[in-house]
Amino acid sequence: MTAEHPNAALMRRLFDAFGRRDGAALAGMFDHDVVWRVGGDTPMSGEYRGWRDVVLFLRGTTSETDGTYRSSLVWALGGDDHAAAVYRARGARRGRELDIDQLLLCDVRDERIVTATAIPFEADAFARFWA
Amino acid sequence: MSGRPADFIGRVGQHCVWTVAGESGMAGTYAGREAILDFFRRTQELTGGTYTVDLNWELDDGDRQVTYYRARGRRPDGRELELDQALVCRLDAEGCWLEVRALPYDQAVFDAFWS
Repeated sequence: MTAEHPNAALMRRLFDAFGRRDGAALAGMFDHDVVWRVGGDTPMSGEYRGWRDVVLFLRGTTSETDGTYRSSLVWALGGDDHAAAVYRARGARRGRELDIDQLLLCDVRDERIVTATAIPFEADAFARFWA
Repeated sequence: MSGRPADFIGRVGQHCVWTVAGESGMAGTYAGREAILDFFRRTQELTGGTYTVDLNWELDDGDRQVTYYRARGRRPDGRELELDQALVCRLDAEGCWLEVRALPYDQAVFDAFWS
């Protein structure tokens, strides 16, 4: 069995920390100047710059969904400077339900995330949920 | 990899299924290598040969692959595309694509260009 690449393991730790709502652990995985990008034109879309804003954004997924938002890692890949994760995003918000796969693409330096780009598999469902 | 989507051709398995999300004229599921190569040809026809892809990076573990690239092109009516996109792939035993899900960073931008 091939050993998991450290940056794939970083993705596992990221989703584990998010599941525990462990902001300190999350912050420790981000570069100080991390940029987190979310496409589309929903209220959650945009570029969040710096670890504080990124952690606040991630907290926002919880507060916007009355704590129902969950992201479960499906699989992850790691390379020397990059990592990718497919995860299942679920939540309830204002009577709407989300249950879709999403992709996270990361640039990684020294085992810290420098950029993260989130792309939903079903952009319409994502937009309806977060609108 | 840099240039025309032709660079992708050698990766398309005989029984590959390629899914393009969204509501544009390109959206849908293309089953089989010939259908996918026809789809590639359409990207060229609709852009007067200007459609190109430049690899940002890719990762695979022999079973799954993620390919992240910048797509660029221009439609004859002046619409332009410059958009990051990703392919989420399952590989066959030869390392060719068996299943591909194409995901644009911004679906609305993608749909507006290809509609």
